[in-house]
Amino acid sequence: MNARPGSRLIHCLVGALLLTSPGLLLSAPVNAKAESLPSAGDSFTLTAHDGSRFESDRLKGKIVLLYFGFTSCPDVCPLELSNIGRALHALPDDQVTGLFVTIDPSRDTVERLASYVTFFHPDLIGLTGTEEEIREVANQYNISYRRIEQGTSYTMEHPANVYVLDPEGTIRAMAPFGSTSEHLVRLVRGIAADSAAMSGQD
Amino acid sequence: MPAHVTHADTGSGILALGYGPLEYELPEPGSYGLPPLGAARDAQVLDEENRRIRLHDLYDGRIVLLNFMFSRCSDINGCPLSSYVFNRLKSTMQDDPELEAGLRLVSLSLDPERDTPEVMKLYGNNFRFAGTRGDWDFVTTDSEETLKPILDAYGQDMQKLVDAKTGETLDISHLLKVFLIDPDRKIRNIYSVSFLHADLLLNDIRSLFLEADGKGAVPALARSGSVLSRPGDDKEGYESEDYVTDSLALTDRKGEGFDLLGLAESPPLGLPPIPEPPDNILSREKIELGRKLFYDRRLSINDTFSCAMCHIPEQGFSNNEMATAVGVEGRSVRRNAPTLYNVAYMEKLFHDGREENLEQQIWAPFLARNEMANPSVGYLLGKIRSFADYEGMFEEAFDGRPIGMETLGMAIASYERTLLSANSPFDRWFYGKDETALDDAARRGFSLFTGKAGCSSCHLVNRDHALFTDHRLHNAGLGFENSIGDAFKPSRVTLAPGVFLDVDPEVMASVGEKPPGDVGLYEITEDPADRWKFRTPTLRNVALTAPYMHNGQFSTLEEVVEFYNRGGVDHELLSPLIRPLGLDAGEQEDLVAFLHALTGDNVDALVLDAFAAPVGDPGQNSGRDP
Repeated sequence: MNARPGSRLIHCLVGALLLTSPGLLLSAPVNAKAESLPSAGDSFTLTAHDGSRFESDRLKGKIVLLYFGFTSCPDVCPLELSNIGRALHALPDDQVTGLFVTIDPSRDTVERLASYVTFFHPDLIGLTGTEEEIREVANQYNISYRRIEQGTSYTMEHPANVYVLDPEGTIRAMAPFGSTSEHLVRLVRGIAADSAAMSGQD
Repeated sequence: MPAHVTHADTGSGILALGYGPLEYELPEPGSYGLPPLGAARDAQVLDEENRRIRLHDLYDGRIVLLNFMFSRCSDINGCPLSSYVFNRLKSTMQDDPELEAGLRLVSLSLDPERDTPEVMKLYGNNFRFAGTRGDWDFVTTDSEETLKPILDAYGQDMQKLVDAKTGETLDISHLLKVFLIDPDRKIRNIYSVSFLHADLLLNDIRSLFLEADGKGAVPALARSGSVLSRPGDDKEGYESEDYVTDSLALTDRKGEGFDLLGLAESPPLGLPPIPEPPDNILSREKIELGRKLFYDRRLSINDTFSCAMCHIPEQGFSNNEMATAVGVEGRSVRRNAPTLYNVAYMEKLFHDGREENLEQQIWAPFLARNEMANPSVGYLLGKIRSFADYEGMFEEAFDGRPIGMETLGMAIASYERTLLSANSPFDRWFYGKDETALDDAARRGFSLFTGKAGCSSCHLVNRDHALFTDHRLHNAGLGFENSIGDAFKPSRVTLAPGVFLDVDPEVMASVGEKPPGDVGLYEITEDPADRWKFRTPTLRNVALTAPYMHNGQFSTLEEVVEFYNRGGVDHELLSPLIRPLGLDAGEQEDLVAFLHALTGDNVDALVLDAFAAPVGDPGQNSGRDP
């Protein structure tokens, strides 16, 4: 197993998807108002890819694109993170934050996370922690994953949804695998508008 | 081999065909057939708002693509693949109006435990921002028990990997299948991982569109005209253990009142003002009272049978499920229950035209031994008089007049008179001058209707309105055929659901009831020349009122058109208006397309109003003296 995920593979897969994905052509005026969903649960603390402790309270006030994966993931994670990365490029920094939580903390060290996430976007935050810490956060977001032994190595199975949290930390939407970056951009803008409309009513 | 390919299986993680460009050329849409693969079964599911709905509510006349998925799915070539492909279709719907109107995407969860309606709503919420056009519904079930029969009905395998120690579900593995369902709720294709590609799906969907057009039908949405009108059951697969009824439970019939008086005072486009008898001018009180009586099962000998049980609101105020009506205790009636839509205009009532107004007409079904079977006028009036919930209602509706033979008739007639339905695609085109309202096939059908086929000689179309009837009776030969016809043909008897036996007519005669004769108008006039003459029915909403003819002999409009095209049944009393028409297959299809364009736009509002009416269940609020 390579120490780094093959970046050539990433490039070629991302390229293929860029060329073939049709994009979502109409901009969607947002009329419907989201009803309030229960918040995702307690806040959490993990370790960021720069080694600092990361309190989820830091995210308050921003829309969050949250994704669970692992750096040795051959296809799903790079594709999804490249979409998230491109969405982040298209949106103002003070509006949105991207989070990548590894579900493979034994391999995904802080150093490894740092080189991995910044490949997709300089501001994308990679998070790791102890097995227990990660399991707990995953449970909060209804994520299940498991280790699959593969000869002398292993891989991880995990869902590929992108969660969108509003500025209060409540899950607002779940984008299944394959959502384009254009769609993620509209999703963030729409949820920001919803939140602004709701707080405006208070 | 299951499509659940983990990373472990694929090593480098090979992406399925659906993620890339299609590497082969597809045939022209419509150049190939998609034979039906069976019925797309109904079942109860939960929508994103945790409301109980039926799958068939979602299969509303549009083409449906159904996938089974679950939010925790981690197989790249499983659920995420179908989401990816559906995503592409959703984006195509943004600038393809035909696809937007004619296609619906439905995702049903395999994991009711985790995928609550709330979780499904997170997906739904996501797609609010994927463009406003095109529907994609996310539904789930309340338990494994509810889900299991659905999976069986669709042949969707599923295995759960459970942690032996904790009992926690570790993974769900399923064979990826996506179902293409046509507007008639037939499965037309099933896609596995090797064939699930957006371009391929679009090709098949466009083929089904062409098929519908080729049939001369208007596009899927306009064709149905009504979401709520449908037979409760077509009994397909009735013999199977998995059979799930289509009938709507009473508790699911959520009603909503409608301004019936307003409707009657200004009838929709295509209808003239209603004729009102001077002594029974409509009022809100009369309509309300009549509506209550119409749905009241206590108005029969054994408290079981209301008017609405043969004139079923969601079945075109007729009965889609039975050729001929059945009254209390299963007693056979020899004719088909006619629709009550636009009955206000009918100058002759019953198939033999024997009654002249609604006020009097009601007494026949009330007293007929094989319908509601009340033994006498006095019996029924006395019974209603004893119901506490009717106290004062007649007096209020009729200027102090109590219940009596006249006021009872006047009340029910008042309700029936408000069941007006028009402003159909045809009306909007012909009377409303909206060139976009009617498609080409239906326009050609109208030319035939008023020209070569000569239908409008009896089904009249006037310059400013159309009732599609001449209020007269004609002999098309069907009654003749049934009276004189094949007495030696064995009868097919259902012994058990799905099990039939052909019984010799002699054996049948020795044990069964003799089939009733029916000579139509002759029974009223006793003029031999009037034998087998029956009333010209209106054709408004005819797409909703199957089966057809006085005895419900034909199940589809296609059969009816074919019958008239061959000139009915020739015999010496055949109406001179009935003759072979020489329509080719395409012309017959065009005529059917025209008939489909006669469905009014307010049908669902009238059905919902009916659902809002009390049913007069004897168990509740009877107030009857012992």
